[in-house]
Amino acid sequence: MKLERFILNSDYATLRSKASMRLTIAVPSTITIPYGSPNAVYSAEAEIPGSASTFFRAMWGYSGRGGVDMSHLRLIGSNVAIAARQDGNEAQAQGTVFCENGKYYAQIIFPGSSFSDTTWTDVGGIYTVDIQTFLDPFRAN
Amino acid sequence: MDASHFLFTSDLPIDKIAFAIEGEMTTDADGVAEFTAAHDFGVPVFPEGIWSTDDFATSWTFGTTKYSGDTISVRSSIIGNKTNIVGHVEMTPNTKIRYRVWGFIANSEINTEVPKTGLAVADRFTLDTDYNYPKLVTDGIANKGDTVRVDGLKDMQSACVWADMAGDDQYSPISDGIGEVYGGFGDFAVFDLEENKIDFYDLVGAAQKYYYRIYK
Repeated sequence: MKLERFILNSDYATLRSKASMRLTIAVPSTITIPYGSPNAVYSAEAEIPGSASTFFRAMWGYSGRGGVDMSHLRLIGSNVAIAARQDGNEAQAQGTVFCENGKYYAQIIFPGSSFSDTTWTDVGGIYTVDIQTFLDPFRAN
Repeated sequence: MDASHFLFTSDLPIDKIAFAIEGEMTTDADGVAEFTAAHDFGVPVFPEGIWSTDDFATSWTFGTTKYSGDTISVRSSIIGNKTNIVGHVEMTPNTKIRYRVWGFIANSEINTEVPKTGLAVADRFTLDTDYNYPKLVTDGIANKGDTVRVDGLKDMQSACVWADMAGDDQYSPISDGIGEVYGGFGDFAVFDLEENKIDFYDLVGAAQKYYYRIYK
């Protein structure tokens, strides 16, 4: 059988959307992390009903500046690099999305240093994460 | 009922899963577990999937990274090439993990023989418009630095991108923290919803090609 043949013959599985949700994270424009302190983590979390065991795809959006103009753009992926400035130089923080025990978490991590204070600038804004869950195709519902 | 959820239209192809596999593995004393599954498509495959430590009462998506304080406590990735699918999980040592993996091949490989996926339950077609089946708008291969224009991009529902890190037709979902594996973050696609284009950035010089799928 060839790929172009219509799926209605039920020989093939497909993906079925389950639910979607948007999380938002507000990040201040400047973040200072004293040396030896943990990373600065900004996060949001939510339960998506019926999605404790589902596959998900996530897309990031960002209203702020952050090294390049990302207004109205979306980054794809549950993990993303976030262009920003660390002590005056272009650098990257990281955003990640994961689901643990049925709850969805979005985190933005700004690393600190064990040797000196760290300052992140031009990172402020509203970070959004659109999470779409799909039925595990091995399941009926 | 939302009419837009209705599937029975041939305007856009429905996403067809080309393969589906499941299995079990256990993390070793270092907390690492890995599986390799062979396939015989002869062309690159683009995998995604989930894994679970509680028999799928809850699950993690392959490609998930979790930070606990300053360290990564959970990491997983999956990669597909012309012959194999390789899944990788790092977490607590000696943990039994079940995985379910499925994936696609490019529409450009339309003449590739695709066996029945063989999921006895999920294969049953449901002419039920309460469900929204992702409809594939377009797919394709892009090189790093490329800009791809997609009409109506702002109306898309979701998208997937896989990256070929070394130019050897081995693809991983772009969400799997691949930049980290290769020494820095930054391999991503930026979707410009106003200009209806996708820019395939390569900030750290690692990824060579990208495969994308766009859905409504």
